[in-house]
Amino acid sequence: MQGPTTTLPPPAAAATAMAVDLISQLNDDLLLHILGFLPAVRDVARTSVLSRRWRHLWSIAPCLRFAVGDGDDDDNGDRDAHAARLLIAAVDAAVARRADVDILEISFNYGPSRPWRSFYEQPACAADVTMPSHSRAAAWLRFAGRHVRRSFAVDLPPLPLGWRRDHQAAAAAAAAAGGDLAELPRSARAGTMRLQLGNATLTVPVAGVGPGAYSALTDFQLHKATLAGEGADNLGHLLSSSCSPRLRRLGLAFVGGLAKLRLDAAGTLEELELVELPDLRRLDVDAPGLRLLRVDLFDLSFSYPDPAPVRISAPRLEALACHDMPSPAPLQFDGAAAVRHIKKLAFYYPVDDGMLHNATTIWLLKNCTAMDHLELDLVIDMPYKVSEWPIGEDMMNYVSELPSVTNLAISIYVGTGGHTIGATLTKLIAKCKNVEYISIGFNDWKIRHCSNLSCFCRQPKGWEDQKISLDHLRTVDIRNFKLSDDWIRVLQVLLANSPALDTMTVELDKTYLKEIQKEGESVQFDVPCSKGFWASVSSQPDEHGFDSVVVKYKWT
Amino acid sequence: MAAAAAEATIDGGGKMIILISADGKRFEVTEAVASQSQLISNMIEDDCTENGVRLPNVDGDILTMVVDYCNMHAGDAAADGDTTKASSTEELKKFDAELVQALENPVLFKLILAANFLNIKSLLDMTCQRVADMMSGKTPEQMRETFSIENDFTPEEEAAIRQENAWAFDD
Repeated sequence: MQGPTTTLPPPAAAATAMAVDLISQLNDDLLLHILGFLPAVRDVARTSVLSRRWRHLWSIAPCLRFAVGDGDDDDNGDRDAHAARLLIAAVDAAVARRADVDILEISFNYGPSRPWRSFYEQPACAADVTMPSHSRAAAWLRFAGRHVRRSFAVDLPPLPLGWRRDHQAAAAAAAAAGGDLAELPRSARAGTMRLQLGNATLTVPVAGVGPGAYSALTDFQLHKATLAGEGADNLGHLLSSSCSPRLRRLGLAFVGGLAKLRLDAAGTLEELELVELPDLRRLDVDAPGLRLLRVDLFDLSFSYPDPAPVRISAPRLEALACHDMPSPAPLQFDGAAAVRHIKKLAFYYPVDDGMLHNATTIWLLKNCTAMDHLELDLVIDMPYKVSEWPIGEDMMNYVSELPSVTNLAISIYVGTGGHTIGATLTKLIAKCKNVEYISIGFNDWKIRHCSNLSCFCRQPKGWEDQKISLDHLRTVDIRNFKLSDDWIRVLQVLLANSPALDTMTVELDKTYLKEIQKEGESVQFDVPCSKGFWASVSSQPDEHGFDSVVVKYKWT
Repeated sequence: MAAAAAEATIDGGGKMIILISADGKRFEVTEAVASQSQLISNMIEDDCTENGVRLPNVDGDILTMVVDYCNMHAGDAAADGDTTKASSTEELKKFDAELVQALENPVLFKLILAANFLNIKSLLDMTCQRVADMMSGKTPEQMRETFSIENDFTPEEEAAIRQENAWAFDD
């Protein structure tokens, strides 16, 4: 193609033009710039064989992205393992002879659901890939500290060892063997470090890391590692303002061996994520600029008999996501007042072993007085035997009014069975007088509802007829709905008490629909309403091209 | 760049600059548009754009595309971080995607050279990304064919290089 205004040249001329090797006439800087956009280092290395012009470029390319398993989502175990073996050799070769690079990424994350799979679904991984990659990790991390100018990411395959307690034994064994333990890279140049270490043992430097030791670091993620040695509790210091003055995002997840975290963060820190730190017994955070906090600290929340002291100062916090947060008694948290968005919070039923957690949820709902978005989970997990179901009490009775909430998203998770949810749900919604949008997702495998008429879940009597005020409610979205009397009553309450309601969409549960259809019956969706009408919304084929069994109804 | 963009915003970008291509074509653009080129931005700061800016390395056809691109992206840099212009951002994305899809040899490489010479980072990145996309996942033979690269290695030399990085050639 020529310029936009000229007509196409005759075919012969075009052929001549195509035959000229223009790319090889670009200078080294431009070719290296182009190579920097290649997603896999394999492609970069392949250019070394194109012609003499290209021969040396690969060895000075600024971005090296080593990855196994990118491209598709199938579980190609053997092929990936073979590729992984080759990759270990390739990384070693590159690390052995290279000078500085801008970007170094090493990823062994294969199997489906990449890139950040949950800790519990570890892919099967050939031992001759796992062990060698881990045995090289120390050298790779050392190289990263010395030679990576901008961004370093490593994602190792998980070591086959149990989580939590086992790691101490593993760390001790590694130390005793005098092995080359991986050390957290020291780098005043790298802006990004994402270390997903597959349960490897990591030491944290103590000596030689003074002020500004990580002066360029803006994004630090450490996942799936076990800290060992005397430096473990120094991690907080290294990530505090004196050593890491530019840090913006910080995430620690599934990190063992960290008993104490004292973080005196730079004002630049906006996002902090603390997830599953099983050995943490003391947490002390000052983050004057923090906007987003995600906390999921089960062990810290349930450390009997002495609740762990926790202090979090984040006066500018806007969004909070916490599934497991320390109970309010030992918690000093001054971030509640400014929070606008609660992304994750949960109530657990029955309450006996969830009481500590529920207390935090109640405390946060009371103190986050500026929040307009609330995402709340109701988790109901009763003993398998119905005769052992406790009576319990409704946590909603302790929840204060929530007049600032305009956007309410509720997810309900029912395990083997449990309380009816209608009365509880209605109580919660009634507290949100100014709510404009509600979404409710039901996740209920079996409907095996509590049949005890005096249980709290049926109280107050006549809840389905009570008047509540939802003057601003305009839109309701319901997912995974089943036609149970209890749930239908919730829809009726919403329809009867929301004068400004515009639309309500109800999507029926897939499995439920299949069951009904298997029995040769059809769905009779008939939720009474005094005004407006229900219409069924045409269903779309799902991602596999099958006619979707999702059936939606819309009230307008 | 930031200083120049701010200046252009203050006087509304009203001042015009003449760009003159290698084949003598003249393009009249505002300072705000032109200063997306770091080269021209520096010249504006140094006050040496009075008699037009001669660009002896850039053909008229290519300069037409560059000026189109800069016109579309004018105000982009000044409004950095302004998320209220969502609709025009969408338009820009569409424009860029269409431009880049249409690019092939030899225009693509002329545009890379122009973007490099004029120092327009976003255009340079976009065009280099396009070349990388054309290389990605290909065998060396396919890469040579795509870009008309002549293999000047002897078979022995080529085999030796492949051996060095065997991991990269194992399909």
